[in-house]
Amino acid sequence: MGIRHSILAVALACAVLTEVLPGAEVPRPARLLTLQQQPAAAADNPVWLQRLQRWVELAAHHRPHHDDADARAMAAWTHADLESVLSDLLALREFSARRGGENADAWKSRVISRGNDVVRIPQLELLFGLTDDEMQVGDWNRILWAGALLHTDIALLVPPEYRGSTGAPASVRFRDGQLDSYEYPVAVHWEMARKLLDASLVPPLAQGRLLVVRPDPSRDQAVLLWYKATVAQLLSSTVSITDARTQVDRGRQLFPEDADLLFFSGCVHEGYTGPDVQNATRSVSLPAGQTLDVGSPRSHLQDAQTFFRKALERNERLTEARVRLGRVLGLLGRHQEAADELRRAAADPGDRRLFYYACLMLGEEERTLGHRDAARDWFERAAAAYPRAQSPLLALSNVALTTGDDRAAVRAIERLRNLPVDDTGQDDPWVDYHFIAGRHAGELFDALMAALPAGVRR
Amino acid sequence: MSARTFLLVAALIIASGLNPTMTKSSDNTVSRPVCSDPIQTQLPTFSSRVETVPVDVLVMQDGHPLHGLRAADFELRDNGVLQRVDLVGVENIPLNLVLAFDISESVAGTRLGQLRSASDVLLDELRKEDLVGLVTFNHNVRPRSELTPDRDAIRAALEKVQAAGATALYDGTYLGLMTGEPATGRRRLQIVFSDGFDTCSWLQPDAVIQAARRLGVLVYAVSVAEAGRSPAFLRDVCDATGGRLMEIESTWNLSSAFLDALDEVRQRYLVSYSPQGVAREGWHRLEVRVKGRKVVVKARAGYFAGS
Repeated sequence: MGIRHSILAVALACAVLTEVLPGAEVPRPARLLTLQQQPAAAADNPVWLQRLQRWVELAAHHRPHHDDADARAMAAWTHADLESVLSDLLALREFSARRGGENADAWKSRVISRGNDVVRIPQLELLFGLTDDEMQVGDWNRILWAGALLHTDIALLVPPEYRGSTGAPASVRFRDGQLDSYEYPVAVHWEMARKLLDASLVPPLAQGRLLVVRPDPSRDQAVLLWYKATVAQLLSSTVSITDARTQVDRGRQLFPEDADLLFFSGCVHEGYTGPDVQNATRSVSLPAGQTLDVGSPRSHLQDAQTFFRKALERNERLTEARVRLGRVLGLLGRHQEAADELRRAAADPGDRRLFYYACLMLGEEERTLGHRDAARDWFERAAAAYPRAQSPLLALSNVALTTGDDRAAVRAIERLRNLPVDDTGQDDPWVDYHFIAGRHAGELFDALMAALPAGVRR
Repeated sequence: MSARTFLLVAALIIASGLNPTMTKSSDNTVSRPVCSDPIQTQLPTFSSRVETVPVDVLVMQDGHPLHGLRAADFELRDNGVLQRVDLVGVENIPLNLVLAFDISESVAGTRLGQLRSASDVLLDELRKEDLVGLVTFNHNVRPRSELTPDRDAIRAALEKVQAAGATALYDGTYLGLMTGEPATGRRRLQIVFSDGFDTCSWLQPDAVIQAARRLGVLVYAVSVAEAGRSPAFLRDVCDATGGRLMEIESTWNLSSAFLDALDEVRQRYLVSYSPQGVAREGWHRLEVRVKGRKVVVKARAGYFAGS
């Protein structure tokens, strides 16, 4: 059995053995690692254990949410080594979780063997820095979270040149609408992080003598925050839209009723129809046999519509979901529905940026519906909300031109001429529209850090 | 020139504070002068007894521009109705040239230097009577210079440019189209330079192409397509106006592309006609042929009039 298969086997075992009662006989689920009663001749530090030890060191030393030397060192690991570590780690955690009510001396006399290699339990405790209590209930959350955050940061923060070969299809980076480079993908690090959190336990871990070992990330608010924060971060860069989709899909499996994740799901699908992704599909000439798997814009718009509606059903005050729903409906050609949603969104003046979007988009829908006076009115409102934004002025000019009012078209352009010339500044929120769904990622990460298990947050 | 187009001239003159000029069209229609004080005076109304529509035509024979044609050699149909053609001129037609340059992030560094150098060469090749304006676009679209005979003003404006940010190609092209006024006997030309795809425009490409058709601007585009294809928009807007998309692999010899465009434009015919027997409002489909010759004729596909 190869490394990849061993991971699958361990994952399956974990799924089955989610609850172990005291005194239950310890089964032997793992293929490579076995738990033995009698000590054998112990090899001090086999290679697989050294690898695991190094991983633990890097995870424990890494400063969460930072691109540091530990993250860069780990980023260089091969796919095979990462899978091996994950396999071994989860198997070891599984063994510790099945200690049950076994006497401490008896427990510590056990060894874990892998082929001819054996590891004593105290050696394991030392390696992972686990307390006896943590060991007793199989609470490896500190290690699991530290590892998950390490791999998260590799995926999000470490520059591509530090990444090792993963054997997976390359990621294609686009810059300014053109193919820029190929790079090793970070999907394996996302997968590592997800699997580590899948194995985390939800406190309270034990009640009286009844030992409950139930990895259930769907009950862990920190895990929910992790999904929200990471998806938000990924949405701020379309380079990562594939990862964003996988991440939000998994998050939604765990938290199907969460309005924010439903909203983010809509944003991911809307993002697939955005200019960066669509330009890439139109422009890039890939080598034979390589394709960009992005799906049709229309199907993404339909999916986006569905998710935005679901998000609003659960939280009708999610104005941004309504704005985006309106835009998506417009792109689907359902202009009256779009106008209705955008009008509702524009009635909420709480967020100037969202109000601006709603006005701008509503102006466009009114123009499409043939209501040119209304269109001009909404474009003017958008212009009033952001007086230095160019989009409402261009829209006003264009709507005038198409109605044959050339003087008004020129007047709107004159207003644009009076805007300050600043090549690097950014005064028009429309420019950021496709990236701002994740603008609260920083706050979400702060909330996540505060929610982490003691010993992980710094 | 149509009455509607005259209104555009007027508004531009007032806004830019230029002195009024008496404009005389090819069919001797005279517009009223515009008052020189833009603040004190309301926008004047203009009348035009006869509309004239300019059509820029490139005639190629065996891959080369064909010279020496006269008005009688052209056959022009507006919505299928044969029209009487006047020849405004050929290579000596002064230009109202607008440069619309991409200054997004991908242009930063060497490419921006090459763009400035190529612009220098292009400006040197313009004639005394030509006017030139400059528009730049990254995520911001900005007019840098109104139409001016002052080449140094354009050079100075280009020197101030910093390349950064995203690409609002559609918006930038639209601003270029709206820069400068139509004038009888002058050719309206826009040269768009871009090395990327649109990433953040508000306007949709169709809206910009419609505007180009309506405004009668000839659009040439120079697109750097190193690892793929050029934006379909550039090809479409060029085709719609009768211009040409020139694709280059790098900007090391960008000046050649600019000069090729200018040279080709100089060899185009500018003909005009006064629509007869067709409705004024709506889409005017244009078909231009050269009688009795096996040639390739390139002209704008049509134009919109009215709302």
